[in-house]
Order: sequence, then C-alpha cells, then structure tokens
Amino acid sequence: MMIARGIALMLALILYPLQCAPVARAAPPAAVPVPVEPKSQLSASAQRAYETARDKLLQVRTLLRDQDSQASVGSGFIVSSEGHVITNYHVVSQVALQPQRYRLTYTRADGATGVLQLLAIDALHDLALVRMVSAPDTAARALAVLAFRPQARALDTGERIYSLGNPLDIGFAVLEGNYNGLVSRSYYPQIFFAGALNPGMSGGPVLDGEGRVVGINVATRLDGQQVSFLVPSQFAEELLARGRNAPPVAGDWYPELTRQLLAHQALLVQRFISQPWRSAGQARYRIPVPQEEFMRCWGSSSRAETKGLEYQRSDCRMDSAVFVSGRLQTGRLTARHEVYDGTKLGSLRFARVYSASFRNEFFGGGASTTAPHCKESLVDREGLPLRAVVCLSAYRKLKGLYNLSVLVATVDADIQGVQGRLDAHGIDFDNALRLTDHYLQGYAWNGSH
Amino acid sequence: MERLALIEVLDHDGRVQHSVPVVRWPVTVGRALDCDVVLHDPHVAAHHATLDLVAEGVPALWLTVGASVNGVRWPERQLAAGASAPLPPGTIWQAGSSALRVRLAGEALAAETPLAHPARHHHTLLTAAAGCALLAWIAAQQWLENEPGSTWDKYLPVLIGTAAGLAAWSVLWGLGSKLFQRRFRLIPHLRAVLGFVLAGLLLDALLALGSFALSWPWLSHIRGWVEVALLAALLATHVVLLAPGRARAIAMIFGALCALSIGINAALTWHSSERVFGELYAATLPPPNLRLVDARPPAALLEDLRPLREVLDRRAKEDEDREAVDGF
Repeated sequence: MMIARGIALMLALILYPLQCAPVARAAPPAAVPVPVEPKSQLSASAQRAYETARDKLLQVRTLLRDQDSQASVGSGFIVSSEGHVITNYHVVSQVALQPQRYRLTYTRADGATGVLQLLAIDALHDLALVRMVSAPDTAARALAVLAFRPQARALDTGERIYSLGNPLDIGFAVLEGNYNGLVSRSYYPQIFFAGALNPGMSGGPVLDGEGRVVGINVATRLDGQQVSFLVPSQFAEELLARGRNAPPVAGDWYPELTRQLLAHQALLVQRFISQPWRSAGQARYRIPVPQEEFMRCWGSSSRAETKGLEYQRSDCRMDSAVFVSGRLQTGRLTARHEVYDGTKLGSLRFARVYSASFRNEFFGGGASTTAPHCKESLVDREGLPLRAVVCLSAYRKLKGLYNLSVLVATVDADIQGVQGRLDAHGIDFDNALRLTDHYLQGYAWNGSH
Repeated sequence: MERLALIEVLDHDGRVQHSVPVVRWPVTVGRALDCDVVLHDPHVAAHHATLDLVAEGVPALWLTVGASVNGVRWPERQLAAGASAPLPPGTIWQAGSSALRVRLAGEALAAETPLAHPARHHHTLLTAAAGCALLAWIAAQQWLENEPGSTWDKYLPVLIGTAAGLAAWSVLWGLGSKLFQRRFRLIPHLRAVLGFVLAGLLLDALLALGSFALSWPWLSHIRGWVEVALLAALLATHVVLLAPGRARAIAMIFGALCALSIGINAALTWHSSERVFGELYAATLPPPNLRLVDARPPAALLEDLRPLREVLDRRAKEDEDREAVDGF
C-alpha cells in the first residue's frame, strides 16, 4: 500500500510539469509542489483561441430597468453579422420573466457597450438568442462571428477545448479543459467538460483547437473539482435558425416558457411510463424503482449494529432540471422508497416509527405554486393494502403545470413495510393522474409473500 | 341583658369583619366615639345613621340617615341625609364604603351548609389513581420511543418532568384559590388537570386509530380542535374552582374563546391554503389488523383527484391576481 502510494507520488511529480493537471489527481494534493508552468504549445493554442474569439465575445449584463446597477452578469458570443448573440437562458431569465424591472446590455472586450434584445429562448437546453441593437459600431461595420464546428466532426475524448467568458465580472478570460464526451444519464445531452467554470462565464463559447464553437458554458458541480457542463453547440445552431427573424416579444416570456415546459413534460412522462419498473430485490414486496436511463439512484441503510429499526433506502432522481428562475427549477422526477424491518422492535414500537416516518414528509408550497391539496385513501394492489396520499399544487404563472407527490405506505404487516414517494415537478394534470396510477401499479406482493 | 340583635360589619369579600351586639334600641352608627357601632371609614359621617325597631303592627327595623354626605344605600334603594326607610331583614347595606348587616333575634336561620369540598378519602384515592394512570401512559409512550433494551434511567426525565409540571400547574391554581377563596386547595385543581390531560391523550389516540381503522382522515384532522376544546374546558374548570358562584358565565366565556380560536385557526388555514384543517393527511399507521374497511382500487383514488384540478386552477389564478395587485 505504502509502496504503491510512493510510486504514484513519484509518477505524479515527474509527469506533472510536463502534462499538467489531470495526471496529478492520483497524488495527495498536499504532497505536490505547485509547479512552474512551462510555456508550452498548448498555452499557445489557448492564446490563439482567445485571439480568435476576443472581438466576438460579449459580457451580457442584466441591469435594473431604471438605474445602471447590474443584477447579474453572464457571457455570450456573436453568431451572425446582423448581431445575433447566443447566451444561456439563465443569464437572461430576469429580463425574460420581469421585463418591466430589468433590461439587457452588453460590454465587449474593447469596452464597447450597447443594448440587447431577447429574441428566442430554449429553456430546456438553457439557451437564449439575443440581438445587439442600437450600437453605433453594429451599423458601421459588419460583425465578425464565431462559427460552429460541423456536427459531423465529433470531438475525441480528451481533446483539448477552450472555454471563454467573463468570470466573476473580473475580465474576459480563456480557460483550458478537456472534452470528456456526454454526461451519462443526462436527460438532455450535455458535454462533460473537465475544466473550471466560474459564475459569469455562463453563456460563453467553448472552442476547439481551430476556434470553432463546440459548446456553451452552462454549469459546474460545486461538490466536485473541474467537473463542468456545456450545452452542445447543435442546440444553439437550431435556436439561431429558429429565432433569428423572430419578432420581439411584448411582455414576459411565461407563455413561451409554459409551452416549452408542457412539451418537455409530455415527452418526459411518456418516456418514464414506457420504461418498466426495476425490481428492488425485495422478497415480500414488489416496489417501483425507476430505470437509471436518465435518473441516478443512491442507496443507504441503517447501521449494522442498530438495536431498533432496520431499513434500506433508495433515492432516485434526475440530476438536471429545467431552470426557470433563480428561485425555480422544474421538469424533474424523483422516486424513493424505504424498506423497513421492525423485527427487533415488535409491532407496537414499529407502528410508532412507521407512522412517524410517514408523517415526516414535506410538501412544498413555495412562492411559485399554490398550497398543496391532497387526497388519501386505502388502496388495494392485487391484495396488498396501501395507504396512499396524493398531493397536487398548481404553478401560478406556468398555467397548466402542477407539482405531484404520491406517498405510499404498505399496511399489510405488523413489523415490516415499505414507504415510497414519487415526485414530479412541472407536469400537466392528465400526466399527474397517469403517473399516480403508474406508480401505484408498481406496488404489489412479490409472488409468495 | 338580652341580646336583641347583632350588627355585622363585612369586609370586601362579604365575610364578617367584626360584630356589635345590640341590647337596646335605637342604635347609632358613625365615626363618633359616642356611637354604638363605631366605623373607621373616612366616607362615614360622625353620626351616619340610626336604627330603631318600630313595634307597631308588624315589627320592622327603620333606618334613618343622619347628617351624612354619602348617605346610605342598599340594592335598589338610596337614602340621603335625613331620609328614613324600613330596612328589609338580612339586607346588606352600605354606609360610606362600609358594608353592614343586621341580624335580629328570632330571625329564622338558614340550614347548616355542608363543607363545599370535604377532603373525602375516596376523592383523594381517585386523584392518586388518575395520577398513576397518567404516569403509566407517559411511561408507555416513552417505552414506545425507546429502543429495545433501554434501561430505566431513560424513563426518569420524562416521568419526573411530567409530575413536576403537573404539580407546579396545580400549585399555581391552588395559590389562585388562596387569593380568591382564602383557602389553598390543591387536590381539586390537580384532579381537574389530571382528568383533562388523560382525556386528551385518550381521545387523541382513539381518533388517530379510528381514522386508520375506518379510513376517515377527518377523524385525525380534528384532533387539533379537540385539544383546543379540552384546554378551554380545563381552564374553565380551574376558574370555576376559584369562583364557584359564576360557573355559568365562566363556561360561556371559555366556550366562546374556544370557538373563536378554532374559528380563527380554520380561517387562517383557509386563507393560506383553502383547506379547513392544518393537517394535510392522516399519518397514523397502527398495526394493520385494526383496519376495519376494505381498500379501494387505485382508480377510485384517481377519481377523487379529478375535482382538484378546478380548485387548484382557481387558486393559482387568485394568487396571481393578488400578486398583480400587490405590484409584484
């Protein structure tokens, strides 16, 4: 063990100055001296990427309507000579949802500024198309644009790519990283970018070695290091094609957002329901566990030495949700269950903890939705009695969308049981009923119980 | 000499402060030392009133007011200086701020009143039994919460805490009795609190179990209201013990307070969520053999859900309109 670690450390020390960060991850961080970065060809590429993109980059600023204070900042890049700019939807969401309070402006690397107009959004992929208006330099000369990398030419894993933007409003910057294919189990395709993204870079382009756009900065994992996400450029191309001649929208974008979210949930629920439930591997009960196609499940269990309740827990959720506003993300499904064994407790004590667990549930009545309304019943599933509670709340501004929670507890045995919960955020009413039915149908006794 | 009458001077609680025997008529009442009944009251004149027994016809006691500013009054009667009137037997009359009563010899006496709450043996036993029952209930609850194999020391804090809490509560009300009734009475207050707490625990458990057994969630939902009602009844019982003569009024006041607090609570819940009860769903899951009704097919639950759409849509619109008015 010690020897292996020693070798890893040595390798790291040798390789680090030559090949940079990723290899160094094998070594304990404290043991690695901070290397002096030699001026290599790779940095020259970064320099080239920055030089290519410099005059096509924008900082996208959301300002208060009546004063010049900035409410948020992001990045963007010019994709047409008429001044079309791609950025993230979440960079412009305040303007989209509250146009009476916010406005959009840009600042370029040379310090030129101007006004931006929102033309189209793709909330599902977190993209927005805006256009530079009333800028003197726009009229004077044709704008240089960034080109998209052709879809036919796929990137190779490990290929070096360059992320650009204006991190933390400090100044335009280029950051190197690696392409690592698509994020597994993501509902919408996202590129796994091994590099650092910082707030303010959202909406900035990510270029290949030839200076063509391969993706758009969108998110980073705060619990990881250098784990960041890009929107593949094809969705930006589609948005540009769809929205470049779109007339400006009067008022807020809630109707368009609602339309996109309704389409999203229709496909999502269809896909979800068409998947068969997985088995939970439980002897007595059949429990609905979702497939891990676009969800990720984590398990946990009681301590081995417990004198009380024994349980096993499974928690499945979609990692991504659709960003609507700083306070609201939706369009997401989660499903979890707990298998309880109260053999060590006896029936009365088990009834107490089983009830307490069933009670200990939260049904959010956030600012975006109405208070929840619930219906409950004893439900029979092929002889297995369940206590089922279904709670629904409606979105105030996203008309026709609801949050659904289905809470289920088996009530067939003295000292064992299963409690499960399905949550669907941002679905229409018919799909709420379909999902409820689908989830309840997932429960039954398992063969000979 | 023969005692013809007794003049009683009463305190603010209506108890006799001191009494003066009457051996001849008339009798003078006032602040002056030559009066037969001397009152130490600045609102009383030197020679405030004179009492005389007029023997003509039906014998009657006549009261004549002397040179007084404040005069004499009794219910429905006010006498100014120089006025004179027959004083009905047993009347409490007011001279200045002093209350007086005349008892005549030969007046019929009321029957002896038994002690209001004699410390009867079986009542004390009953209170002790209720106390034991409550502690047993608390211990059983603690047993349910403890992991198997827990030792007795886990029970001590909650048992001692409960006993101390109940004792402190009863002592405070006992001190209330001392204040209003001049008697420290612990046991009746202790009995009241034990009775109501036991009733509360029992009702709460029965409603929760009944809700599961019959699949009637509302039985579980109303538990909060039942608690409020029992609390109001307990407080009313304590207050009646302090002022037994006003039982009816006290019952009405606490009944109204209880209805008001339940009403306000329901109205607030309705305002925020368009529900009457705060509890979203019945969560008690006792051993399944307590279930008395059949489970329904999932489709029945789905049918129950359908009407929610209209409720939620209306609510969402109302919320949004309100937001628009507030200038979101």
